Amino acid sequence: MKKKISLAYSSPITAWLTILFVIPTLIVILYSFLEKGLYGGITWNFSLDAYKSFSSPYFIKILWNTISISIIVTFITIVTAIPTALFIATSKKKNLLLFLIIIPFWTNFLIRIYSWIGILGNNGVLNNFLLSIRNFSLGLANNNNILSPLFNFVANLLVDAPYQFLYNKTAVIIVSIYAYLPYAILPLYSTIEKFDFNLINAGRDLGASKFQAYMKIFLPNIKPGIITAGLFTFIPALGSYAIPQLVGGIDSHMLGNVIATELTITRNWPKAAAISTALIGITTILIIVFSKYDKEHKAN
Amino acid sequence: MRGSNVKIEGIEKNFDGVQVLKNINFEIKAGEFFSILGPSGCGKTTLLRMIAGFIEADNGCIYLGEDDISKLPPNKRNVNTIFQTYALFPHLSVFDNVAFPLNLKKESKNKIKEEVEKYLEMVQLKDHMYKLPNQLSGGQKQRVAIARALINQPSVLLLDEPLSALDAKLRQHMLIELDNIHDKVGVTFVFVTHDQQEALSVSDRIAVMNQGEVLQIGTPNEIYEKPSNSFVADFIGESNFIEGKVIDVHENYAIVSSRIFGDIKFDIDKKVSLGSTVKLTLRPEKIKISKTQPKNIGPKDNTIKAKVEDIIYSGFQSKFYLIIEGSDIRFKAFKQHADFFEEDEQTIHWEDEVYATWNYEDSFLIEVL
Repeated sequence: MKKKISLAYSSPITAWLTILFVIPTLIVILYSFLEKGLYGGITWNFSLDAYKSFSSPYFIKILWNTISISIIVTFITIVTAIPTALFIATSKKKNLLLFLIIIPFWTNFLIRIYSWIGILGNNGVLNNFLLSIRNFSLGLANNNNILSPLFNFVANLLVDAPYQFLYNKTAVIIVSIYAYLPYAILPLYSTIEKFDFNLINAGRDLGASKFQAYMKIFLPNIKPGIITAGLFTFIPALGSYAIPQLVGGIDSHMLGNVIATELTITRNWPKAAAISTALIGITTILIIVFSKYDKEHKAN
Repeated sequence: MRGSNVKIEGIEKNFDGVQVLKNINFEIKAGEFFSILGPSGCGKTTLLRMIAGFIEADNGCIYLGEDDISKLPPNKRNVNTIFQTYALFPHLSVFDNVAFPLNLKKESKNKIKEEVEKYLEMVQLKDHMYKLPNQLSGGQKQRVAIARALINQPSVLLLDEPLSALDAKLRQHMLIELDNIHDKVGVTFVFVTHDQQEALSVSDRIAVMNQGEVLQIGTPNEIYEKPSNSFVADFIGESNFIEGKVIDVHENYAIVSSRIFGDIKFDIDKKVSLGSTVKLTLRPEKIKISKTQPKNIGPKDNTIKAKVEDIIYSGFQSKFYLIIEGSDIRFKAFKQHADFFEEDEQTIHWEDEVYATWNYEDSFLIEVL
């Protein structure tokens, strides 16, 4: 009886997800096993052609790009998010700080990425700043005083030309970290908030230095939060499209860009579907592994 | 293991402008079971956390043996704490929890195993070695915390209300166990509690604190039988207070005239002067109550007439709340049930008129007002 009621209550969302999520996903998977149409689309013949392209050096390079960028982004994001979340969770102004984390979401994602072009571009804020430091140091060095060698040294560290910050892997990594940081901070915050800081005291009492106490007691106990934050960063990073498209270069294309190219330019729909299916596969495996860990964790 | 003495010298602490510790001075002897007793908010836990090193004092020093430890971080102090909530590491097994301090010291695997097993044996938890803390009962968690705190061989063990999370029966049991462990290891125990029963039953000495001050330090017997002021008398056990003017002073007793109680004889171990207003204290269990006027009243006994307002039966004793005619002052008298039917006494009921009798030695001067 109870089961029936809960089924009835959940029917709207079940219908919504089935029509807009499950069925489209199944269509994508289905298309990946079909022959491509001459001018895009598909023809209804079974074929594994789409998957054969997975062995091409180009595809392997893109796959490597995607996975390596995602891993680097996830790692740096989590390492940055843990101290931030710890600071927020132990601060007296946590509500204000959480609010600050959420504010960027008020601006459109694409606009926020574009604004990074304004920062990292050749004529951007960062390059202008570095150039002005160089010019300033040079000016001081020409005054011939005791500190001249120092200013000369500083000026020589900087080149008299804008740095190429944009349109490479570094730009993709920096902007991705920026984009996914809030998704990592929030789950970490909620785990850390529940952490009993008396345990740190207990560790200190038993002979651990502050650093040891955080490494041996704090980190293991916020593991669920770290894993959630990792998934929340790694999965969207894996499927990145807009960030590499806007701030990346030819060396930093990711699977998302290839899917878009295959779909709109080369018009090889089965191939786009096959790559999507592969991404769905990787993501599903990660989630299964995580939920297994989570179950074990809760059982204890 | 040998305990060391702890000397607390002029400790003061303010939190947000509120003085929580006011010039605390006392010494805990080596190997002693020392309790710090007081109501919540009296500063006892702050003092304990200061000895542990979690809070720094504004003024004053703490010595462990000969060494001033006031400025050392917690991990450099040879003291260990048992926390109120046990603070066991939830991600580590019982074994690894107890092994934690030894792992930090990078002891050899064999030595760790040997030591951990020894201490788990002491607290009778060897069979639960591989369980995680949340698979244990409250009492078992407590014992893991004890083993973990003692394996470091501290010279002082600090116990921060360690029994407050346990139920009454288990608390009694753990208290006896703590006492046994104290006898076995010989470490100085500093036991913080708000429960006077706990403090009275196991301590060698007790410091009673209130509002950031130490009011009295003494053996349980001294604290109970000779409280130094009315707060201690009221906080430890239960007390009746009698106020009045001294109207007569004899060699070993004096007489106070109280508006409500009439003339009361009391013991004088302090100097009292004729005409001063004083406060006397009287333990309820020292009072004998009877329906008929007691026949064998000596010259040193006090007798007053009162009415029973309320009776609270609590198994081993009954508490009688008496009220004296013409006043609204309540007066407590406890009757042990061992002698409930002695002397063919009539049972006392609610609203009965009774006689309350006690020896003058049991009412003694506590404060000169």
